[in-house]
Amino acid sequence: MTGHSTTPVIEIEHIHCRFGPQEVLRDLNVRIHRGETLVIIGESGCGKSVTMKVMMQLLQATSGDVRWFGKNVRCLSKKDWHSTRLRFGYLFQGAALFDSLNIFENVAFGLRENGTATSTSPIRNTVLQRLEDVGLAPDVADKRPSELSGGMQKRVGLARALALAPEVMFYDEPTTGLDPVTSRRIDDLIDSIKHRHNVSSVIVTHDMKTVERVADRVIMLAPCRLLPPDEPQILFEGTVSELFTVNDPQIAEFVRGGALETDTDIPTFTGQAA
Amino acid sequence: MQAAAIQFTTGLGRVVTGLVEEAGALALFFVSILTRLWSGLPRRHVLLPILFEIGVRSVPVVLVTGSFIGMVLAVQTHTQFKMMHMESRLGAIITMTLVSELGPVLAATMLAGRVGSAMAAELGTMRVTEQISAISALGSDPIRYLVVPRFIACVFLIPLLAAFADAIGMFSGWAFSTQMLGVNSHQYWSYAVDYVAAWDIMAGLVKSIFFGCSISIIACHRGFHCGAGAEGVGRAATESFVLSFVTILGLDFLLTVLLNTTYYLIWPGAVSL
Repeated sequence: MTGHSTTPVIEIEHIHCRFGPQEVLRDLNVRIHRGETLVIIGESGCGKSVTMKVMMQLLQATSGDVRWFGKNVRCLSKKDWHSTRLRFGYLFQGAALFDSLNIFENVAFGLRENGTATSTSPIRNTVLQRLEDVGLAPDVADKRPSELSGGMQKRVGLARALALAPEVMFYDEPTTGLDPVTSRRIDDLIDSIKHRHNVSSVIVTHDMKTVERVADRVIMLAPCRLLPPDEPQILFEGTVSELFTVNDPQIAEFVRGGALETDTDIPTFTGQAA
Repeated sequence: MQAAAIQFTTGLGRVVTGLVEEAGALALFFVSILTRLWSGLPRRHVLLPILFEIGVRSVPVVLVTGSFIGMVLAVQTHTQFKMMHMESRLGAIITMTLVSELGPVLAATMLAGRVGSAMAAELGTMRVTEQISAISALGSDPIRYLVVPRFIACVFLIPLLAAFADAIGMFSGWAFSTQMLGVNSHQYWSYAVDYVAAWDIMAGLVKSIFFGCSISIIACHRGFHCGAGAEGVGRAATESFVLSFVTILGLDFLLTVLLNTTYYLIWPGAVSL
């Protein structure tokens, strides 16, 4: 893990979230430090993606506080809120590329809309550089999202998120639906982005291989509907090695089940560069 | 008996509450559009494709609608007017009906189907595939980027398309009346010009502006708050059309009453057709 400064880049405190009668997040407290890669795991429906969206303020929590770089988001002026949010990048589960725009326009979207670069040349240079960063050739720029494979769409989504040079990257199930080779490449990309651009990362995943490869710290959430009323939602918080040696049967089953599944899928890729 | 009354009252209460909530949500959505409009117009590269999609690509639909309305009006009114030996005044009734009533309402209805449902489905798909969240994550405002251009396009282009439907309807009504029903061409246009005042044209345009406004608000709101999956998108498109259609009819009635009242307040001694 890289050295942490004292102020977390993102901090959520006592977050509760409900969708109608359904409780999704319960008294959740999480901190992400500068340069750290935090992976959130847990079974489907436990609120992993919701946690990340609350951190990014794509969703409003029912109660609780969210701090960005030490400042409560509720105390930020509209201008500060907007400028701080531009320091975050988000890779959506399905990439969420804009169908009506080609790849170039997708990657250039944030630059154009935020006036970060106004003339054509810097935008073009940045877009091509970001595409290269994620291992895509410049000729992809003229294609439509529907002409690309799932893995390539994820890369374009990553290039688009990186175009604004974020300090914190959120990855929502970055390897879901991808074959083991492509998953490995995406994991390598996440790792290289962390080191090359010195970004903090929050990753939501079910893929234990991804956890092994990229995580500095892991949090495991439990679905609120399966918890007794006063039970905390975080089942586990610690390093990867602690996760894989934990004795709790519920956590061990989740980790072992995931590890066994991926081991069977890609036995020869562990530790190899794709 | 008492249980049935309670059940009826509860059901009625639910419907009324639902309607009030719906009206409130649409009003808030409209206010959010106006606040974005106040702080600046959308960029040209965003607005132009939407203007093209809503305006230019709707022309064939409006052309077909307008031409058939004109001909149907000619056929229907000719029989009645002939019995009173007033068939020479066919131009007046066709033009008047088209300009103040049928042109705006039918053009808006067609556009609620073509443009409104398409907008609801497009925005709904963007919601389901997280493209709207992606716009937000990239530091842009989804309402400013997606809704404001569509609102502007509908408010400006639906009146133009309705005017186009009026013109096509008048022309097709004239062509059918003179070529098939034997009405004198000079008399057709002469009565049309005599009886249709600038107020009637203005009333039709005012209605169209309101229709355009309501179609865009309803369609964008439905798309923006679309439910999950393909079912949610389908429901958003259907609800958008049904609600737009009902709103067009309701607004048409209210605006007709309001405009007529205003007309007779300004010109108390005026006589109608």
